[in-house]
Amino acid sequence: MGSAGREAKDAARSHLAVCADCQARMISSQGQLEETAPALEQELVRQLQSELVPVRPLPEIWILFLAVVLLSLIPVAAGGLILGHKGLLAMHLPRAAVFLLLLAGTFAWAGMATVKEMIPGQADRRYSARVVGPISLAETLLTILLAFRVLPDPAYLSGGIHCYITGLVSTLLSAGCAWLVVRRGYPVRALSLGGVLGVLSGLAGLMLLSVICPNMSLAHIAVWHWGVAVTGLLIGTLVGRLAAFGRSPLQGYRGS
Amino acid sequence: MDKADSSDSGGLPRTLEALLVGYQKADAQAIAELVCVVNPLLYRYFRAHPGMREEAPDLLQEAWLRIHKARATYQPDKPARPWLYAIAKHTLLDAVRRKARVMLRETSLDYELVSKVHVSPESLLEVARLLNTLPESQREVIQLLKVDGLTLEEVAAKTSSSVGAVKQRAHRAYRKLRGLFFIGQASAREQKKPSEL
Repeated sequence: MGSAGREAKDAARSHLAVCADCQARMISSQGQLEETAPALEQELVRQLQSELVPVRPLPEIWILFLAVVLLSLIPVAAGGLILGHKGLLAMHLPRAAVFLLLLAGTFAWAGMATVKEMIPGQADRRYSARVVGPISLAETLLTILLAFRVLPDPAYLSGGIHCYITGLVSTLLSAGCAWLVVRRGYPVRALSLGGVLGVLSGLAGLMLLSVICPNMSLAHIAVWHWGVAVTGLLIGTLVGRLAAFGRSPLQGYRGS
Repeated sequence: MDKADSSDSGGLPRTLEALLVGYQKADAQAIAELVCVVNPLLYRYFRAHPGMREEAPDLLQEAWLRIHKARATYQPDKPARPWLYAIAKHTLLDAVRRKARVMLRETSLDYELVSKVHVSPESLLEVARLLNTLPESQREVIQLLKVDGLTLEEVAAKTSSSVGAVKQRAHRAYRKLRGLFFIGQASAREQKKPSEL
């Protein structure tokens, strides 16, 4: 070790002799376990035992995933049955297949991210809102840009607003349906959950519009349909943020 | 063998995962063992954070309340420690953020006390100063009990805790305030002595 290294070591040793914070960190890293007061432990055990009720553990993750995905697709299916499927009929088949396949893949990714956020300790960077949100939206937009062409659209504004509102309604309904499953978990990151749930329901809204809307103009789909997915993410993030700040540390989400 | 193991009635060690499963099944013995095993781990975790060391006991209690609410989400085939530490981590993060927000509002708390309590301004400032030294959870309980005039049951409902937890926090707050008050009195007497001579 050179002189610079020895000086650094001496400086660290001198600092450790006087800094209580660093001493605490050293103790923690050496594995010494600090005991809690027996009275506190007894009180904790008494409180927990007084509220003793057996609970059924959550199902396996893949079952929760299927439940979240299928429930959030209910408004899409219902909308398709009620409003018709002119959009599917108007699409060029190979392009429709690619577009819907990629949309379905992104939707499944958002669904798995939602399930991971429900359970403490399951969070994964690949499924966090910071990753899922932007990449999902970017991928969807890119797919739209490649799959659709610029076409004249005389009723751009009126038709677009109508599609946007329909898509938003579907988004909110999908979020509500997915929430029936999500509320059984215990999400510790409200902001991230809001984001991924917003993406999931926004993509469901986009799916509905793809099914029912016969307007194949690129400008219409890129703005009004894709805008529904963006709005879903924004609303979900906002709700998650409000929940995170409004949350008392003693309040959690409802478990089973 | 894992340090966090415990023993069942047959003398064989019960793993943390087995204890959590017992907790889900409302096994009272499993709960007692779980608390005994997990408390030192979580307590060390909270005390390792420099800004929250004094509030570690309160954080521990909050973490257990969350663990209790979240117990159904633990999946028996998964490791227990990530599940426990995820809850503990976000308990700590919420407390740190709450503390930061409260520190921005500390002057307004004095104002609220002035508007509600009719005593001399000097005493009021002294009370406000003493209250500000308490951890947030204890200060909240004292304010709800003594300033807002709520009952123990109402405070427990408002803070989503049990009556026992409210009593414990209030007791700790009174003890600390009493100690600080008498220290203040003793200091004031010592400062007066030279002029009295």
